[in-house]
Amino acid sequence: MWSAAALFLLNLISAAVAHEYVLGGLRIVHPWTHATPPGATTGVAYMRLVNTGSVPMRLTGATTPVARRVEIHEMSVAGGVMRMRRVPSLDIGAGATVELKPGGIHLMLVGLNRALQQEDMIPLTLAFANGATVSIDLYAEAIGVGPGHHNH
Amino acid sequence: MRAARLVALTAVSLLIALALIARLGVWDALFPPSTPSFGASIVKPFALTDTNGRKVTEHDMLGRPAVVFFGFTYCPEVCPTTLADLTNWLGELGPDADRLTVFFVTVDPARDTPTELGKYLASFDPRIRGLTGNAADIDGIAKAFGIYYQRVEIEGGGYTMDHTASILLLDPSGHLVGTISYQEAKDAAVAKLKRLLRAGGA
Repeated sequence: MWSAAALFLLNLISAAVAHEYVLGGLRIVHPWTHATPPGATTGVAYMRLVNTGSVPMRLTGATTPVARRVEIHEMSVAGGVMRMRRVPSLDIGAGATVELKPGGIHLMLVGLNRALQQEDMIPLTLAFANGATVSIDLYAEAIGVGPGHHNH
Repeated sequence: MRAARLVALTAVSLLIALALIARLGVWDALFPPSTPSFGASIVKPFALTDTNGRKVTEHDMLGRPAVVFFGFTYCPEVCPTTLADLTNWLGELGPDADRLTVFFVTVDPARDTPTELGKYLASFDPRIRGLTGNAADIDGIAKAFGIYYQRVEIEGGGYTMDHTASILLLDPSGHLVGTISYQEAKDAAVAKLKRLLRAGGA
């Protein structure tokens, strides 16, 4: 009885912490976002895209009910200066892994219509050049905290 | 005749190349904005507004060690991450951090009004004071501090800001004594803040 409950809880936790989606040969691993301060109008989405298939995939956009639009952005910090540029699409070659992560490529949620709360699951639909779409949920980490840089 | 055409053609190509360099930000990449050197006195007279609408001048930045970060509230990653880090570090320092002056200066005063900035900063350590002002005043303090910022239009509407992502550390007399880079390890950052407090003659 208790072990079943524990297992159920564990499943819930792992679903939130390391969830994954599949679209053909493409694995979308642990999509996540940050909780946003009140009044913030932009959010981000990060995830690992693993193309296990033999066909290259091209991410062309995304939509979410929580934002007016979603853009693919590339961020860099060079010489202490943060720069951000919109890119039209993102290629995930056959066999390639592309990491959307802080300090690099991310999806920017432009025009948030509500604050994202920690532990929220935020629906997002990814669209690809071949016409395929996949609906995923972003797990909202605390403001400024991401998997891998938990502040101890 | 032929030579004249060649000259004209060369001139046009040069102009196009220069325009491209300016457009792509290659110039800034080749010649990054000059950061003041350590030890330089960077606090010049300024008049900005905090999130309660109060006037803040250089006198509020002097007399105690200061931690200054430039950003904007529409910033999706660097600013909330840095403010969350700062909150964490100030928490680690505890009451000692009360002896620091901590400012978050917007580089996007058009959108970051005192009210908007106040709402945004409510998620972070209350010792972080938000500063905004008119475009000229923001430009003045950014220049004095060696902060690069640039409005970048986003295709399809709206804009974002490129900006210096480092945190500046100032001694009580307004000299730049250190920086903390984006995503610097917590231990290193806290050590720098402790050193700053000690140098502040605590």
